[in-house]
Amino acid sequence: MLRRYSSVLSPNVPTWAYGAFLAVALGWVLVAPKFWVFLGGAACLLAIAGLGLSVVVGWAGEVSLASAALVGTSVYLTGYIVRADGLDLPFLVGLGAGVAVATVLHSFAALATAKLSGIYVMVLTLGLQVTIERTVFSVAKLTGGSEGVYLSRPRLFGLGFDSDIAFYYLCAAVLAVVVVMLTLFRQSRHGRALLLVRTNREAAAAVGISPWRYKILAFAISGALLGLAGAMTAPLYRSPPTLLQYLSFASLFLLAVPVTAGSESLLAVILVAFGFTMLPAGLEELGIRLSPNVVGGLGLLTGTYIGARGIGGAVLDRLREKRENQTLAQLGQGTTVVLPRDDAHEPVVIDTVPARRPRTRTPAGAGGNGRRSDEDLVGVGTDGLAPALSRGTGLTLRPRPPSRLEARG
Amino acid sequence: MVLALEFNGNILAPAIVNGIAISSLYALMSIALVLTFRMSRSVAFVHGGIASISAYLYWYLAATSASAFEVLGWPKLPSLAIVIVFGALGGFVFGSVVMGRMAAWPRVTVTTFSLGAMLLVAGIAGTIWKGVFERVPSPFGEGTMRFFSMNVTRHQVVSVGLLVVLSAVLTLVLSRTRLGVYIRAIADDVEAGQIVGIPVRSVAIGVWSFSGGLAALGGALIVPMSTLTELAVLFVLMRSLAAAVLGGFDSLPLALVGALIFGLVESVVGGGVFGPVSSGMREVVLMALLFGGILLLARRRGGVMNLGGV
Repeated sequence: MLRRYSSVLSPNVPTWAYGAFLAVALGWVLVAPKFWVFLGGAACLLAIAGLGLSVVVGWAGEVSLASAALVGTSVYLTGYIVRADGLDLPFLVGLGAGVAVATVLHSFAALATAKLSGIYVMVLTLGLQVTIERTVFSVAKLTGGSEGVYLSRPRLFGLGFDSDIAFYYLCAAVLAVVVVMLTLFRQSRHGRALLLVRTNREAAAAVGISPWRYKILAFAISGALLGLAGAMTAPLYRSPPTLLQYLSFASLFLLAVPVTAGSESLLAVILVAFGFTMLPAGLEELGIRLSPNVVGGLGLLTGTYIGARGIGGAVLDRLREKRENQTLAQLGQGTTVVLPRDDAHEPVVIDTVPARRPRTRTPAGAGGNGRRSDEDLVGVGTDGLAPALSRGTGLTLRPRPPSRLEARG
Repeated sequence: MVLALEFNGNILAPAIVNGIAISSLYALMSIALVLTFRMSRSVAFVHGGIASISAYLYWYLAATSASAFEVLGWPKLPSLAIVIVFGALGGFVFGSVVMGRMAAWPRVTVTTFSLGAMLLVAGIAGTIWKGVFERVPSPFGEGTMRFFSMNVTRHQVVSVGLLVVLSAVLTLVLSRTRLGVYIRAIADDVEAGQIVGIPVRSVAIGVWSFSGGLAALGGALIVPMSTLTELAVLFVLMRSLAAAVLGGFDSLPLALVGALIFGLVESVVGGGVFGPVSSGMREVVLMALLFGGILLLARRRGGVMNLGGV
């Protein structure tokens, strides 16, 4: 049981790093000014929404552009259910309603586009976004219209979350639960099926995995997380934020979070979400007023340019390479080692090759013609692995990085 | 919400005229979208960004008075020309990236890249001119004309005229010239085009530049009909996108028909010919149209490419 949960942590990251991360994540609010603590809560919620989109973008290989509308719908619905001049029901009821509505809407979008290619999914979800803007957001009863409405922060399980610090901890706790659940989902049968659908639709169908069913599942999970982020946003702001926050460009901004971070690391999504929240505010503190869209746009551009594994993937590759090289150095020369990606932490020796045998796979950019790699091999065979390894061209079987957002054309 | 079935015939004709004028602008953008889609097989959301910043730029150059912002008040037609060149430059830069390193990338990735470019460009415009809410002068003067006993503005007439001329020229170029054959060949099959020696990359980048200029023209012509705000142009992009989708992203004539349908429905339903409707209802009707179009399209998958013929 414990082993199952411990598999949430990447074996490539040392344990002390996780400890330090936890300490910083919980401790910084105690010393930071109030406004930044508030932003911290907002960043946690952006991270939840980003993780939700990451399921669709990173794992299912589709792009949904209706995210801001779903978050907004959930914000206003939860606000209306919870606040005193609305239905005045407990917070958890509002939360459930917000999550449910967002899940249903997003699943519906997926159902409608189940058999269409990715580009039509984009166009239709963008259409859904605009439709929600024009219908749901124009209902004054939900949004509170032009007059301000007030919403108190919830008391849950006898705990009050009225202060910004307490609410930050609540958001962070919810975020942590989301991360654990998503990781377990990804390692589960269904998670692997989802990844297979992204990598090769035909192969997935051939082994009995229904591509469109998994697409709808991904959209449903994503909708639930977007709804969760929205429902938590309602009490964060106390009064519902202006509509402008949930218009079409906001969808693109949200999309930028998982695209920048990449599909590889959930932690990267969280860090990017914090960056995207804090950076415009920090720049404003310095007197540089920058539209968050600039940050989001740059993120989208770099994220797509780097590829589906994103910045998080690039960092993880580095860490993995380091661990592989260490293992290689321990096991000696001429050994081919395959490291398991997630679960067990023991390296598996699958083959022992003589050190002087020519390498079958020359890494890209290593010269291409056989002559140069012979010289390299002499180095490998005689005076140890170190020079070759430092260039990151060891004898390991590296997994091919998964295709970019979508494998099929 | 019930769609009340009344019929106000007296406002039908003006609504139709208005609808045709708006649809000519949707058509401009959807031509740009279809052309670039055929070149790089991705939806060029970047045109939304180009159109958006071009609208701002045109307003900045040509407006004579503005409430809170500095404007230059230059002559209007030269300003429009500058804006078009600017848009073409934007199209050139983006096209070079897309046709270069990204030529073989999956199209959803390229489309996402395009979305990022749109967000960035719109963000830059929003940072420079924050909270703009301005009236924009038409490049063709402010007068109105009588047309079958109806008042139409010069701006509307010239916009429609521009589109007609442009469609005619495009048809001629695509069907009668060597360049047109190149473009159609690339649109059909990039690899085959390369094999027979078509300079794929330069032709495609040329088409990208042309489309960028078109998007800029569309952006600058849209705002005199409404108000310049951050989202004004994005809205038009949505409509043009829907029109391009109705054309299956491969047929210019169908995209033009799509633009006409969207413009007319928006104007006729939204204008209250069938009783007063909220903007939400109008949006739902248009969304239903788009959705129906996509489903139809899914059925006629594998249809023939007809970029050239009208």
